[in-house]
Amino acid sequence: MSASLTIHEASPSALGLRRFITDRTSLGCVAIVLVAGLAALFASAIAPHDPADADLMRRLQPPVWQAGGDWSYPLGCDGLGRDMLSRLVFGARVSLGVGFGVVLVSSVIGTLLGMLAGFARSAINAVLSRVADVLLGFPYLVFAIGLMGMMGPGLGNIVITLVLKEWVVAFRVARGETLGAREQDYVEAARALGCPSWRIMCGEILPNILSPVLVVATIRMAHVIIMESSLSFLGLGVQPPSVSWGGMVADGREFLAEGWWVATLPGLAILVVVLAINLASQGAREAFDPRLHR
Amino acid sequence: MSGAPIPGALMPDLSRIATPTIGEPILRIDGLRVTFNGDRGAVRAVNGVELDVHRGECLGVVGESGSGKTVTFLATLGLLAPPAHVEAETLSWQGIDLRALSPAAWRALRGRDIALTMQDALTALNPALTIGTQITEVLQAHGDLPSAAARHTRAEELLRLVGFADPARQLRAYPHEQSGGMRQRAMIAVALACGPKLLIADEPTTALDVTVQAQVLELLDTLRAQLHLSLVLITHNLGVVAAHCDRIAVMYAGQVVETGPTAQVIAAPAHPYTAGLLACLPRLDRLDAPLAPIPGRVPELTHLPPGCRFAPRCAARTDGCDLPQAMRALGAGRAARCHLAGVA
Repeated sequence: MSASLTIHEASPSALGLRRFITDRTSLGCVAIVLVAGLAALFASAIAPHDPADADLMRRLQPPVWQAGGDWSYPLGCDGLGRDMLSRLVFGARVSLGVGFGVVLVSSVIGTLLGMLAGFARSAINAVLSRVADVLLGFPYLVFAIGLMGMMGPGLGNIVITLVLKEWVVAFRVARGETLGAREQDYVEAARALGCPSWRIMCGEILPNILSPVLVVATIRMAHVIIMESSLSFLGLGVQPPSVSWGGMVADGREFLAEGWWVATLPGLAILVVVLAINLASQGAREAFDPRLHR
Repeated sequence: MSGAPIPGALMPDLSRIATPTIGEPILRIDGLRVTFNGDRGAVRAVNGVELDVHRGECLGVVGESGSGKTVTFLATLGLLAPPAHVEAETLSWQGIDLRALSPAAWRALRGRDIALTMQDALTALNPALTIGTQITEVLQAHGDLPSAAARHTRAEELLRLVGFADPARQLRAYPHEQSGGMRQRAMIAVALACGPKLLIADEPTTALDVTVQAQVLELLDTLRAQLHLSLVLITHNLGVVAAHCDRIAVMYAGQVVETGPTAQVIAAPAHPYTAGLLACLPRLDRLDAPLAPIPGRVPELTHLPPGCRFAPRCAARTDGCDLPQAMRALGAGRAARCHLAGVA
């Protein structure tokens, strides 16, 4: 009497993955991000020189393809004679590290609070939503500069500042999705079978709101990298001898006439990585969103 | 009962129902009222429902959409939140007063003692989780089986119990990979995870085609016998009730208008509404006779008639119908909310 005739098609996530990896743009962008990430992870192994090793004899030595450049410093040297390639590689560590870390922490916090607010719909929701509205009302850079000014520059403070602003994004997405999911029959069914609220939140609602939260997180990562670079450019970010792309662009400003590469190369690095993340996350959204297919 | 004018071939053979051992009432509902306070005034969805579910029986609750069938049982399980307002004179499960239950006690009761399957299996199953996860989750919530392997085995067992030939594979299936009938079975398996004593099946056959409907109902019959379940079948299909239920409760506009053993109620309905419902069923033995619809429409729950709820549509209406009607016991376990019942 059993009619166990399943049409075994690939699961939606497997289909999405297949679509994603057959898309060359997305794949190329992922490769770029991966290369930058590996460079950041193994910076000390990859970098040919110590990024803080200054030698005024090499001051503004041009990259290898320009007259006066040589292969021992392929991307040239900056105003203090430090190797540009090594500094870019170590700069990736800060930029990608802050980008990934801030997005991870703020997504976890934002998602948990968002689920709580959307599920409880009581005073918690009202309070959290008003806090989120207030935070959204601040212009991003003004908020960050003000807070960094109060706390002082430094890597830890950058992360704290950006997380304080960034959790709102995940919060709003998670709350909105939870408000929709909590009205679904499967939530009522779970309650009818005696599941407690926390289990319904983690076991039933979370798997359903995860994909929009993840997509938004990847898009926000590009944004956070730009914010970190901006703060470092303004001198509020990581302090020497630590290297960050934003700080390198600021250093190179003085030498725009004599050594364009000092400001341009880190700027290019920011551009390429941010663009790659944006295109990859857009590709992921298109590949995994069932509404855009069939 | 064989001499009674049982409607034609669309109605199943009543003599087929074995009378199982029916015990004492386990669920007692009396004077249940559910009011939704909305912008346009109070919507009285349930108005003094009295129902008993006996151990081992199958009770069919029949009524049109909006008659309060589902709301009655959601209230019984304590699942209604404001703006719904629930009050009851009696609401007890095996002697325990449900009205005084703490949230934790409610959670322990749901799924363990009383389980509910929802109308639409597609939306009642979580699209993001496999069937296996959804079963083990209930087991985990009740802390029944501490080891994951034991829960997995139990889940596989349950899927076999509801008639899957390949339970191991179905454990890993997502609801969208299953057909409507399979989802209904899967939902029943989830509901049965903790071995409830009473299963409330809300419209288990809607959105299924007729052959699958029969399979699901047959499955419920089998499970009931195998697991000594009591069963409440909420449906608008009198044919389903006639074939599978020991007792029937007909609901209209938030009230129970008639209860009694299925065979007797169908053979000789005491309430004009029940008679009307039966008259509008198609009959294979009288194909040329036109169907007799009930004139008029269900009253709005915000503006209920003061007397009998059915009076405005009733052909047998008399002066006494303007007064509020109480349930009149008619003997042999039958009762009807009509002052004419048992008189004529």
